[in-house]
Amino acid sequence: MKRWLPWAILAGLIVLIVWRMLYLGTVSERFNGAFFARAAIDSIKLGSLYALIALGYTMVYGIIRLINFAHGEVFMVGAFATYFLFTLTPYSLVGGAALAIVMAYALMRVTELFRGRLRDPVVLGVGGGGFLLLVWALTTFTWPFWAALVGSMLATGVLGLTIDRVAYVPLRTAPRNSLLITAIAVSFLLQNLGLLVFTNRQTPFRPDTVLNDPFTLDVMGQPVLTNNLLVAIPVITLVLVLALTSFVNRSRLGKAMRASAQDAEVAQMMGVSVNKVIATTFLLGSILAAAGGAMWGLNFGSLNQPAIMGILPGIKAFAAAVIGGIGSLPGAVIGAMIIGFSENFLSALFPRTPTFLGVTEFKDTFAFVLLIIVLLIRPSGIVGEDLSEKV
Amino acid sequence: MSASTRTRRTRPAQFPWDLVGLVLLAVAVAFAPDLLKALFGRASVSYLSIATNALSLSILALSWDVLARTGQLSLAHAAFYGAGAYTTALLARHADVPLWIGIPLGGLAAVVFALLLGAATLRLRGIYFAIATLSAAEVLKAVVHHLPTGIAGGNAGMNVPTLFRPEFIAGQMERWEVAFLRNEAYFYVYATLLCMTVLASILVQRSRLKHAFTAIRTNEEVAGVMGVRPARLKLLAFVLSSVFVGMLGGVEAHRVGSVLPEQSFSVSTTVLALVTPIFGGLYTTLGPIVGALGLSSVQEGLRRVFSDGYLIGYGVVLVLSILFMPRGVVGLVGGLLRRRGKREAGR
Repeated sequence: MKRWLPWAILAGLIVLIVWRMLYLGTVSERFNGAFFARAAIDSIKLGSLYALIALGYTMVYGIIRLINFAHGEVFMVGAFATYFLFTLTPYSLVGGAALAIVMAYALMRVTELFRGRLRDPVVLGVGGGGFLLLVWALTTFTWPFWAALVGSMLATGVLGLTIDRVAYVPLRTAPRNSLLITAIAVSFLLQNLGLLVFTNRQTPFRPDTVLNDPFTLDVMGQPVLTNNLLVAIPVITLVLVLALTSFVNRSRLGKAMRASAQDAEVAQMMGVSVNKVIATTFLLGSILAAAGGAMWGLNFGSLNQPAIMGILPGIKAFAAAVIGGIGSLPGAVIGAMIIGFSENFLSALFPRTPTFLGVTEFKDTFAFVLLIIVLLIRPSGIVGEDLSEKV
Repeated sequence: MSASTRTRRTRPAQFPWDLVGLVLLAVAVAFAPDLLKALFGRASVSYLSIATNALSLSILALSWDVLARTGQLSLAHAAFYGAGAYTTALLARHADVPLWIGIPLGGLAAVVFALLLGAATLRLRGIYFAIATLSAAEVLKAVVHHLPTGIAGGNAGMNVPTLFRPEFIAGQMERWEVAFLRNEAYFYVYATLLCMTVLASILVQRSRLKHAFTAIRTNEEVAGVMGVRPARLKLLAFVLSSVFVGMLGGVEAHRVGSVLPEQSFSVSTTVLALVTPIFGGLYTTLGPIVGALGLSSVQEGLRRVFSDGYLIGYGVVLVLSILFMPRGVVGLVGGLLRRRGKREAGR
């Protein structure tokens, strides 16, 4: 394909969108700059959230070629873990100690990423110190939101490691289809476990945090009411994504990760511990998904019932990863942004008018229509290389 | 003398286990309702409906497996199912089409959808095919959901007349026997549908299609060079796979008595269609059926032991069973038999 063609398509799309916005402005007073600004704000927030989930899918698929069906449920657990941490703390000593063990282990695994070995004195020190600090913190005061966010990321990271250890490691040499079953079974398990704890009701998610403070934006003379999340969600996402990409591009383990994605067997022969690499992808993917879950709750003010909360965001984020080109980190972010924008911005571009019903009702299907279109034009996604030989 | 007859002559004559199995299956299901009634009396009403669910799962699983033999991991079975269910329901509601024509037409609608989907996704492989089919299913669900309420009922769905209305005759039968008669009739419909699916699967396995499908699954390019036509055969597999699911959807719409977007196009249909054959053993006729029987008994057993949250146990059982038999039940048993055969040959 010619180099300039994507840019030409992008420019054409922008021209079409602007033209449509100007046209809508003449139809009704309602469709002014503030209306579209609101849609854009929602798009950016949603796109960032999808990106956090999609990265987990794309990393795991890049290395073991598995659709990790349980990832949507990891996202759900991340959201609920945050909820537990900022509502139910302080815990009793037993519960606090148990949770502290989990989180301290996650701390050790994260430090290990930089030190290389689990038996390193620094790693052990971080684990021990972290454990004591966490026991104290979990049993003495109510956690603020940011602490709950970090704590939930750690705890969910351990969940990701556990899922990998229990359901996927024993099946490394089995046919890939059987991995699919364990993935589905794990997601089944987590859904119903959540259902048992929460029954099927909505859970309010309104932590007392500065991120929820409202402020007013001035768009072409009209006020747009929004809150700090507008800045917080994209910024947190950006920080996490940058940290991830620099880890994958710079560190030793990141190099091992890229090598395993290219050819796991050869990487193993060269001395890369592929099992460790895979565990790391699960750890990092789950950490990102937990951050996504916590901010998802913050953005919508409530959590859906656990049995269905993870399904639709999970499928859409997966679609985003495929649109971008599965296996590619920037691809996942681009795909997620495209889906976030199409969901909110297309609804704004084709709103309900006296003569037209509007497309808002079909919002949930945009991701899928878009996916089909992209796959038909470019079967390996926007930035994806041709994977047809490997799959 | 063509090549095919030569190979046929050199192949050792095999006992047709598959056809005998089909006849045995037919005989077994023919006598099952009476046997259940004689053994359990009143409780047989619910046993019969559990058995019907197992048959329904078998049809779903086996038809998914037929498509999977070409290497295509379909996530569109909820769409085939829903297309069949909604077509049958719409015909029954708006055109007063007799039920026995409506159900095959439901199968036909599923085939039409499958052909469109198959043609659109011919280029896609593996994961891309899977997610594209899942998307198509979601889109079809949304379209059905947002059809005008006067046509398809929208969110609330539609009522569908039941197929069988046995009459209660005082003095000659007890109350529960009415329900039994109804369940029995449905059981036979499902059993017929299953036998048809099994027959189709056996015919595929006995013909050269089996090898063509395997070739496409293993390496499509090489298969194309060797004279197999991947595009055409993949579409054929789509047709064979969707027709029975569509009819199943139609029958089930009558049995349940209603169609709803969330229920007819439920993701769990897709998930079950894929989990069951993998659990039982892929690319065989026996595997999906064994898987369906196994999984429905596990589910029913767990439901009786733990009332609430029994699905947690279901997940645990699934994980454990795959850890111990990654190639499914049939793969495990086949492997054991082969090992024993080898040991005896070595002696």
